[in-house]
Amino acid sequence: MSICCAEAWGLSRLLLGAVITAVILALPLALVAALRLRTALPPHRPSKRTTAERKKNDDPARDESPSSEPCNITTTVFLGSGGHTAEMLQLVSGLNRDKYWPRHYIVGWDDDASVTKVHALEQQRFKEQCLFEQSKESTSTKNRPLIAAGLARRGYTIHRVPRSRHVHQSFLTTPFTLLYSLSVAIPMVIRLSCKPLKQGSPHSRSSSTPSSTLLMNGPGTCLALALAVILARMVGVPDNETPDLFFIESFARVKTLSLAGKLLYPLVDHFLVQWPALTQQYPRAEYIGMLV
Amino acid sequence: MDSAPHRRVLVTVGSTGFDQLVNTVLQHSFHALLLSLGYTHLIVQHGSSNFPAEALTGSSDLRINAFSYKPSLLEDMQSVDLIISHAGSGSILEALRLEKPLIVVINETLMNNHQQELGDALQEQGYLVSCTPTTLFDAIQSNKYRTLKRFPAADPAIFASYLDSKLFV
Repeated sequence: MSICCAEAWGLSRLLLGAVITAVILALPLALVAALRLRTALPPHRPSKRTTAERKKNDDPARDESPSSEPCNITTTVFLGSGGHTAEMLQLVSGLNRDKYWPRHYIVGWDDDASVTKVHALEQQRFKEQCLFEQSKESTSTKNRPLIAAGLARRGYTIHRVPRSRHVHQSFLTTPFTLLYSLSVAIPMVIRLSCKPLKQGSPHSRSSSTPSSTLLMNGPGTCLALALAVILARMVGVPDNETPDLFFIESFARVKTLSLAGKLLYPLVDHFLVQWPALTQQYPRAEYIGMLV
Repeated sequence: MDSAPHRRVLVTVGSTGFDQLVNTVLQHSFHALLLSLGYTHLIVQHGSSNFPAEALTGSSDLRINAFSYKPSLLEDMQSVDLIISHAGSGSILEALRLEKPLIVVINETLMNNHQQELGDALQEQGYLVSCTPTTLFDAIQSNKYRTLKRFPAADPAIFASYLDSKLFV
């Protein structure tokens, strides 16, 4: 009996020691992570506007110079199928293609309807050819040179991500499909929208203005994309090399945010709503009118 | 024979089903109401809700046409004089953009019903008439749907200039 007690005592002491060591090691890590997260989230990110304004004042001739290539914003657009796709493409349709290029569209694996709508919009509004569509068979590495070619020619690309959950899928297997989906989506958004600026290029944008943007309007799965960008900021990818995150709440939400809206509200740099009442409840939200 | 002008009504339930609305528009009293207001044709997109075949050859003079889904309702919407729709934002926008009189029927059985918010907000602004399956008769009889405001056309420039202001300062 007493031997058994002594053994248990020894074991618990060992466990206690391990826990204390882990806490001591983890505390600074957690602290660093928390600080990183703080600077990666919108309210504490360095203000781009003021630096951008300064840049413009310092060098007003740059933009007017005829030889100068106009600054461009790499534009990544998440299309959440159905009504999400319809609203998002309505928003994208007004963008100036000389500024917003290349345009990368991320769609669900089997969301052919969204792909068709992207082609229709691009061909109607922008008169560009699709430079690259990642089909279900092809691998992303094989097509990478095509993307590079696309960047030079100001076109658009379409990328498919696996569904995080199929309709009627068991909740037991959902974590696995979700993980698979994330393992594709996260590297994709980093590859598409987090770009090191060209070294020594005379036309590259000021070091503090964003070079890319990520536009999202739901559903909840676009949380993964926003988190991927925030993680990239946390591990030290420079601010101007990660996309500015925009969330545009649906026209359908009058008094309450959608699930995607609630999840992304604290994470994104800019949050738009289409009904003024929402700005009272969510002070960071901006209302600039009906958008669709 | 067909000298009288055709006046058509479209009922659409969207991508799922809406039993209460479909059951309402199956009633003979509903058909009689439409006829009394001068409507000659009723088109029903009923989704997954049951629409019995015998309803197509009903006793009334109203010509009824029904189908479950179509990839696009644009042609049907363009061809009618009144749209009675579920309160999904996609259908609402499509109907308003075509400047058709629109009665929106709220599905009260849906959980956390934000559709009601949208229907009410747009009704408040005078763009449509919002009702429930039980008040649909009143909504049609009230004639309010004949004097609705024109819904403003979509302006993609609003978002474009907003994005410009944030990214190209």
